[in-house]
Amino acid sequence: MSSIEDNEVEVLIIGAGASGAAVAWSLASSGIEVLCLEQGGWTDPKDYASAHDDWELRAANISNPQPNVRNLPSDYPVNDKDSPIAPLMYNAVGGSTIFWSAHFPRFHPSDFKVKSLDGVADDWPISYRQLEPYFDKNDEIMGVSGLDGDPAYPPKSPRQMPPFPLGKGGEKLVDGFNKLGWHWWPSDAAINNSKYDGRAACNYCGPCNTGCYLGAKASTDITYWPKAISLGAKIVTNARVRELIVGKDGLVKGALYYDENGNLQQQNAKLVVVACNGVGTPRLLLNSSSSMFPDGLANSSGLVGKNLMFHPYAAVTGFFDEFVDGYMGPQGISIISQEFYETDLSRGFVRGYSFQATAKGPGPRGAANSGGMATGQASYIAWGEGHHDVFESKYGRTATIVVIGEDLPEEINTVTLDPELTDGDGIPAPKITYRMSENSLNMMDHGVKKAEELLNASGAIRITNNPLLRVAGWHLMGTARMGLDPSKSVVNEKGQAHDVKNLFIVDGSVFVTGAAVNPTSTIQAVALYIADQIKKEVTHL
Amino acid sequence: MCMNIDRGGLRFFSETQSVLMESVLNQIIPSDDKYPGAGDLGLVVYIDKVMFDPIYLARHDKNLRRIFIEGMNQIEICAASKFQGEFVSLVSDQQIVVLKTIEEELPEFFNALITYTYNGYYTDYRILKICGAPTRPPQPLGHKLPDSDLSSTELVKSRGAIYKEVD
Repeated sequence: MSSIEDNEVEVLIIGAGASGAAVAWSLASSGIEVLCLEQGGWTDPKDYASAHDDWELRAANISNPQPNVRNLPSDYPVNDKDSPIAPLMYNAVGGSTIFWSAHFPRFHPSDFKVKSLDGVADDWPISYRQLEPYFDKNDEIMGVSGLDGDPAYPPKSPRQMPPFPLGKGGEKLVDGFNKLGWHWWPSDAAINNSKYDGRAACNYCGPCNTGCYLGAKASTDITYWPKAISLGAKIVTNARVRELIVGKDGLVKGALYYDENGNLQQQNAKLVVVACNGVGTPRLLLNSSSSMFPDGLANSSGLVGKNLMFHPYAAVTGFFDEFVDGYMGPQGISIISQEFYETDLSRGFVRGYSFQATAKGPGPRGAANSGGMATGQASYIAWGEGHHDVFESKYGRTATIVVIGEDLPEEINTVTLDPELTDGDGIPAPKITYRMSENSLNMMDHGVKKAEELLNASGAIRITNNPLLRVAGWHLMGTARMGLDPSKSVVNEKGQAHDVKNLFIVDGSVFVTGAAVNPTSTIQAVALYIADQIKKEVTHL
Repeated sequence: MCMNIDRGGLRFFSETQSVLMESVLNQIIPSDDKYPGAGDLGLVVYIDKVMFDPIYLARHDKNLRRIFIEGMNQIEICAASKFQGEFVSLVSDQQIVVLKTIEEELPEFFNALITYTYNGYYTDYRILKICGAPTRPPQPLGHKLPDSDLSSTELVKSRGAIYKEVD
């Protein structure tokens, strides 16, 4: 191992994904020296599946969202056998934003006050109003296509670009929503619907979840990172951090990492920012135990790795008697409904869910292997006689409502270190232990029934459902939660570890509650907010 | 039987096995007025490639070749046991009985057979043309979608705010 103790940087960021990129830009724009260690590399859009003849096969294999299926050198294995939901993530500059759908709703004011409003979970120590300027700034940098005036939110800053077309399937769903008098709105999407910030406009090709060939979809490798680097931030890629090291003064000294040649290196820093998200962050902290922190770094509360929140997803698919252009348009965004978002106890559960309606069905291979459901699960179309008739009744003739439920934090849902499984560098892998609560089960059951009602109103001739998608663990939250009480939280309201004053966490692991919408917009707003707090701290160190 | 297979190019299937697989594939996805059977399409060549191609799931499936060898053997054992003949000599109904038995008794093989048959069939441009799917990758041309009429969002707005105000 080479030591570069005399090469100490001001701020070291671990992870170059959604939150790490935002923090790097913010700190660099204030003249702070920033170095980021990222275990993946830079991706090349030419490698993304959508530009290849065998794109559907690549989407199922080397571009699969599950690290356990992809098994690339930059991946680490995850023991998810004790979870009905498999966590999904991608390691690269840009992190999981390389493969995300770019669905970009914000959390709501009520999502930060769940205890006060509904008597469950906890309140965040920060509010929607405090985060508003950071949401706006993040929207400006990522670029959001959408429609102003959504009554499911307080008034927001104007969307940068107009909303995406809904497609034939989406328009059928709108008919259904309007017949029922339910809320619906064109989704906010961090995808260019026109040229923006030097990036191309989307050409509605379809498979966003395999990487955007055009650069129309906002991933942080093409939004925040170029700006951060132009301001002096540096990234070291293929740098897999093994542990953070602590000095005798109880402060983090830096990180030990394996470089691209597999050699162990040390990078010291005055202040360390962890941005590895809801599985990667607790894994790193638990792997960073020492005599001073025998249960893992910053873990005197015992809460590192606990309170894991996913978003349970159910998929309800309607089949129509005409082609609804299912393969065209951005993959994961179309319409959002928050009709059942806020708590109504008469429904039999607390908190609520959103609908994300996508008329985007799978391609032919996906339809044959998944029975036409957009989310790619369910059994294959039957073989033998009648196969072609069944295929033609499904391919391109589906619209799917995805029900996204709010998961409440529970300490029994955890990320721990697997006792046997390791990554390619011998670093213990994470183990997920998770089960859905009765509240979540009741909520999802309600959501499936309401989705069926909607699809009937939309004219579907047949409806199928999958009440819980396994390959849907995109949103990973809660495992290093924020709070004012050090016995009940890992970081304070500034994202600063209670136990370690020069350690900050900026990703979804600090979330106190999970809401019922995609978290990335809020993750980045929180990251930018914490970056401003870091700017005040770094001068004291 | 498909006459277009270059059996000399096969690396995994022997000639006998390739003939067997053609018959099997033609039952998995049979022909009709519009679509060719999977065997007639030449999918045995695709599945042969899968056994060695680094890009597909097969690269993780170290057992795939063993599974297929066992599956083909069991098909013949079942055909002999039930109908006293080789699979390729059976009539269609008999072949279906054999395959349904294999589906139940060797699910690992049968699932793999279905997966790779469907993967190869529904990514073949000849099939995509028949079913009306684009016969090109999504990029760089993308697709065209007309703008939508969003005027009914005014109705949604007129119902008022639905978020909860907090202090």
